[in-house]
Amino acid sequence: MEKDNITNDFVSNLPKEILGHIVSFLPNESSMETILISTKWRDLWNETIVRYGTKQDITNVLAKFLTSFDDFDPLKHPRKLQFHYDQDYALLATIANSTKLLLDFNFSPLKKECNENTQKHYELQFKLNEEKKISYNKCFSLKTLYLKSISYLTSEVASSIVSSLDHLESLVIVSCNGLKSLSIDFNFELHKLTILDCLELKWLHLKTSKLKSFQYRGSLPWILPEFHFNLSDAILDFRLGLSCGGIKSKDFDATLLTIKNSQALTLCRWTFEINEMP
Amino acid sequence: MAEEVSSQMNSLSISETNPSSSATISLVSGDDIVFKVEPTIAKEMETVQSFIDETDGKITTIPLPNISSHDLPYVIEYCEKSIAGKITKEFEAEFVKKLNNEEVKELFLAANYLNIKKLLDFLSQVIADRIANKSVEYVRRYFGIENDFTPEEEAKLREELAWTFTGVDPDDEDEN
Repeated sequence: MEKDNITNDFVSNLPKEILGHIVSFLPNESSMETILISTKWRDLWNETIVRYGTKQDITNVLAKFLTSFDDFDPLKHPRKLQFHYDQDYALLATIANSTKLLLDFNFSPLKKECNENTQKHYELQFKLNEEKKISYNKCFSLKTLYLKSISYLTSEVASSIVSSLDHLESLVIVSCNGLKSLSIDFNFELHKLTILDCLELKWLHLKTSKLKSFQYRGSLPWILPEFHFNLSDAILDFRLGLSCGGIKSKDFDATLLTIKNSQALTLCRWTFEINEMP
Repeated sequence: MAEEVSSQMNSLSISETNPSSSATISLVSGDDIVFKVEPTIAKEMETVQSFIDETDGKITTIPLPNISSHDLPYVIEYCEKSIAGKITKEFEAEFVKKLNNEEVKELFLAANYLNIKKLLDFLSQVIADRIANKSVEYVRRYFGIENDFTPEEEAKLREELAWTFTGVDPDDEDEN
């Protein structure tokens, strides 16, 4: 049955709508993989909306963009949004499905500008608890959010977006150069926290009682957990050493607290052993 | 009973007469085989029906150069069942069991060409079921698509895809 030695391409001549129709019948995770079939399919998936505005518009533009996306017909509307704001800057939002979004804040044709931006230090405070439930955007029903390359310019926007996501279960923070202090205060269902390659992070304040999975890659920061977690898995990769010279082995106790009950634990380099040396 | 049928067919000027040889529609396959079908069947095929409407029902022989005499009977069978309201899960399962991958694709193209919404939906589901959770290589073979990525492009795309969508939610993938 699998002879398939046909030379004519079954789908190349079909209109986008028809291809989208087939895709709409695929299960969610599987549908996205059709992007790898050929350049034509990639281009279908990578159709991008381009919008212009100011930094203040970002949240609303994103909300609108997310609302128009349809899980059951994912090729109907573009799943990528390029938003140019304040002239020189741009972010790229990519939807995986209506609950999963990637925000790359350093998407800019003018790379030089961005490199300058990443030099400045900033703090991020993600705060969402019952007393202070902002939720001005009901359509933000995201469960998984990837934040990439936030800079001091976009830290406020990022904070306000995250702080309005009361269904958030998984938060991934990647390559945020200049991020010095991160505070996460979530009383809701945040189960999974991943922080990768935020190389200047020195303070990590965790106030997240429901955390089940914690992954960190970078240099060891001061970790201040306010709860004792019962993690099901933890991956700590401190191969880059310490984030600052002042950390003593006793300061590592707090880090140990975060992982002490973890069912599965992966460690890369046990940093404080080295720190013990004078 | 006859009236009921004719009212259903009111878009066909020819439908006033009882079903007879003059009322049937002749569908001519790409390899010149004639299939005589009831007007109700033709009505299921939007492309055919609009052709009939355009000519005020005067022309009842419709050439379908894109559809072979091998595929057309399947299309007709599906439409007959559809009119009779007998499209069941069992029927569809039996129907699809008879078809190999090549035939599914050909029928899909036929359904698209003839604009038969129900059949198109059904076959989309069939194709989707056959490529779901399969490797990209398999899907390419299935569709007969050449991989036109450069190795670099493909690696980059895979990296993007892995970064963004997989490897982070192992729960979603365990089922694969």
